[in-house]
Order: sequence, then C-alpha cells, then structure tokens
Amino acid sequence: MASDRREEMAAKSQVWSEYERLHAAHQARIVGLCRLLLRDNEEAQDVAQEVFLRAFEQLRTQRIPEVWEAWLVRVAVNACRDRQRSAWWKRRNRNVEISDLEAERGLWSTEDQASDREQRARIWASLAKLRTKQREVFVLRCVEGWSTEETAMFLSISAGSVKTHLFRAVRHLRQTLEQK
Amino acid sequence: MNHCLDDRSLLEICTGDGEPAQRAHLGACLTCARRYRRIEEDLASIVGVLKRPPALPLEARPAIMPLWRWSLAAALVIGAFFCGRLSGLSLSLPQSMMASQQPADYASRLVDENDALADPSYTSSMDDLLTPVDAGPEFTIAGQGQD
Repeated sequence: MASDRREEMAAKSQVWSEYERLHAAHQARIVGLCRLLLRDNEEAQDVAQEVFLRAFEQLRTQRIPEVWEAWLVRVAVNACRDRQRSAWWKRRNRNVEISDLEAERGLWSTEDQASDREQRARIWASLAKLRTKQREVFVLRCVEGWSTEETAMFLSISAGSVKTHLFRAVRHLRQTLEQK
Repeated sequence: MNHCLDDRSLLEICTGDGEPAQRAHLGACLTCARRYRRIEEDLASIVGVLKRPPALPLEARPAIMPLWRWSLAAALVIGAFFCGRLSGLSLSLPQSMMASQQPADYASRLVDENDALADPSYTSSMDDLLTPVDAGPEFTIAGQGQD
C-alpha cells in the first residue's frame, strides 16, 4: 500500500519535472510565435498558457509526442486560429485599425530610434493585414525557420501551397518597405 | 531569350527551396544577383523587426473609445444628474412644506376615518366581535361529556 503510494508520488514528480523542463525549453518560443500570429502580447501569453496546459495533459496521460517542439507549434497554431475565430475576437478587432500611432504605443522598445519606429510600425501593420494562412506560413517559414515540408505539415496544406502563400506574404510585406 | 529568374524563384532560393539550375543561373547573372540581394535584405529587415521583443505589452486595442460611446456616456451622466437633482429637490423640502403639499382629499379621508372610529354603531359592532365564544353553539366530541 505504502509502496503504491510512493510509486504514485514518484510518477507525479516525474511528470512535473518533465513539464518544467519542457516549459523552460519552449515557453519563450511559443509565446513569440503566438505574439506574431495574434499581434497581441497578452493574448499570446494566454494562448501559450493553454498550449502548455495541453502539454501537461499529454504528459499526465502518458501520450508523449515524438517531437515536442513540433507538437507545441502545431497546437499553438491551432489555438491561435481558434482564438481568432471566436466571436469575441472578431468583435474586438472590428474597431481596431493598427495605425502608426497605436503601433508606436505598444510595439517598440525604448532603444528604438524614431526613424526606425515608423518602419517597424509599417511592418507590423502590414503583417496584421496579411491573410491568416499567409501570416502563418510567413511566421513559421521565415521567422521561426521551419522548412517548407514541416510548415506544410503544421498547417495541413501542401508544400506548393506553402510556397504560394509565402510568396504572396513576402510580396505584400516588401511593398510596405518600399513605401518609404 | 531572357532566362532571368522571377521573384518567386528568387524567394525560393532565398528560403532554401531553389533548384540547382536556378542557383547556377543566379551565380552567373548580375541582374538576378542584384534582385536576389534586395529580397534577402528586405526579408532580413522584416524578420529582424518581427523578432525583436517588445518592451511594452503588444496591444491592438483602439486607442480611444469610439465617439458614439462617449456621447452615450455623456448622455447617461447628464440624465443621472438631472434625475438626482429632481429627486433631491423633493427630499430636501422642509417638513411643513411637505405637509402643505399633501392633497386635500387625503386630509379629508383621514377625518372621515376618524369619525367612523368614533361612531357608536361602529364600536358596538366591535363589541359583538369581542363577545366570548360560549354564547355560540357547543361543540362536543362524540361519546364524551354525555351521561
């Protein structure tokens, strides 16, 4: 009886230590990914927390994925999509127009030069205007550095579609840079 | 014949998906190399911006409340102010003024009720009600109290 209890405690502590390791290794990257997909830091933190809660459930139920990083990215992308699909999100964003001024209010660190701010505001505004799929492909492919095949797997689309979405996204973002 | 690469092919090379033939062309063509370099620089600056973490929390919420919300809030505040003033006026009136403002029929009704209470027939009817129950019919339980 006592040995059963001891085994149970050991298993629990193993799950916790594994979770802590996972959290420490991937939390910053998942928050960064969610931040890019949602363009909102608080929401990104919230969604990342959801993702790690699911990861904990996976650990607790012994359903360990082959590659944790890929699993986390896939779950994070889906969680961000769910968040953006919600009626609350649509209502919230109806009145939102990311102007340079608004972007300046929240996006920039203090060390940014004033001349730099304008360009950064334009890039963030341009990212916000991309279609969801284009934004996802661009972020995963160019910012996160996943390959075309991996990105296709995460988003459940073909490699050709990834290339097309990426080309359109880059074209749109480059046009923003040219509007100096 | 122009074999120069289009922007899509240049981007594919840039992201590591290009074909060897395309790469070979890029190595030989100065125009394509220049265009490629521009794409590369643009991408680097875009990614650099997006990778930089924000010092303050990111937010895409509206900076100011929409005008109609301000108007609604102002109307509510003004309405509440006037309501408060009107109700405060009646409450702050002196007691004598309050009494004088009571309707005349209310005062006359009070007098009528007073008269009715003083009426002898009314008091006698009240006496009837207060008479003991033993004046009424007796109720007995079957099998008890009968010798």
